[in-house]
Amino acid sequence: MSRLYIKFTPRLRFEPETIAFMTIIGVPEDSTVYYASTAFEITGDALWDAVDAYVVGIKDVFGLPLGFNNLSTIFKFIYPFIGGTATAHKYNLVDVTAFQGTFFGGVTHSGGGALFGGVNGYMDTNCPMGALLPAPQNFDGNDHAFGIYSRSNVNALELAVFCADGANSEVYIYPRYSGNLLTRSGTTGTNHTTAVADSLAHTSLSRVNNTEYKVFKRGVLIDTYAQASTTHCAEINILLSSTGAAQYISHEITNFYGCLGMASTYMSDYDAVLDTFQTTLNRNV
Amino acid sequence: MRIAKITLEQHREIYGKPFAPDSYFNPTLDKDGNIFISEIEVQKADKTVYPFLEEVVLKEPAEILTATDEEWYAKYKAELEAELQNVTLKIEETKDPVK
Repeated sequence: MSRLYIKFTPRLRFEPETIAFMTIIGVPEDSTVYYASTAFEITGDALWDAVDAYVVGIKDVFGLPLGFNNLSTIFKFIYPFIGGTATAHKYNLVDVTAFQGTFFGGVTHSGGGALFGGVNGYMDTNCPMGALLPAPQNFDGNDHAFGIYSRSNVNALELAVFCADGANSEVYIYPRYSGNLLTRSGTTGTNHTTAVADSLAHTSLSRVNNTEYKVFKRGVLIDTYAQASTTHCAEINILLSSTGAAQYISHEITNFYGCLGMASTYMSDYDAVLDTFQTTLNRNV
Repeated sequence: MRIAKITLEQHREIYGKPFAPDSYFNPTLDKDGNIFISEIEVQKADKTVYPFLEEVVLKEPAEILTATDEEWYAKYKAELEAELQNVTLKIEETKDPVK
């Protein structure tokens, strides 16, 4: 006589990425109050819930099973900038042991995120472009997307996302300059311009196949263009804020991510999750 | 954010060093040849390790001197002369290379 065993695996209270991240940034799940007497005041319990809802939301968008360490199948890095210090802000939610950021120059850390001073502050992700999405994870060996969430409305020549070596395909994102969002992801050496009303909230650039680039604002597709592209500068680290003279950002950034090239549907859904996360933390704009 | 001008020697002293946990100095050269660091770096750095930071003057970026060509010539000449103080030149007789 055979017996049938049915094993129930209870859903973890928190996703593995949430537990690893919140533990390493030193925020216990309790009633300790963080960022007291600021607009971002929140308890440790609430921070855990907010981060976990964000992780679960992402997994829902991309159809990833819950309860497993699997954000890395879509994202290489997500910096949620939670904890209010450089030490906490350096950690990557996708994998706390990988691509820990390093801050240089004038950056002010708080419950609002990382405020780059606009004179010499930047963050090195320590993630080389070649490691971002090595085949066969990506679609064709080069696809990728980068996005930031900014709480600052700036109209200046400030380079938020930067990866270039002067020879291979490069990545540039200027959130807003002369009324335009400037992006570059090929070898042309020229920026593509897309008119935008502000530099606030979620801005992203997605390379979805060999020739097509999509520009998103608040998750809405606002431009599509073609730009010649070859191999990317594989050994150069991706930077948040430029090391180029006079192009450092003066934005307060609350989120920076790098992932697979995203089509419109995914980006729209992901934006909703990201916006909910920022709203929970009272950092939405 | 305000900035503070520093000298080439001071730049060498702090370059690649942390000024706070997980935060590193980023002495930067502007288009006019000024080397500067930010107010945050000045405020947060340990002044016992970098005493010269007690004396730097914080200014808005636009207030940093844009010098004339003559002033820059004098500045670089002085820096070069200071650098040469660290260089020792001597002529030595050497053996012939391997024959």
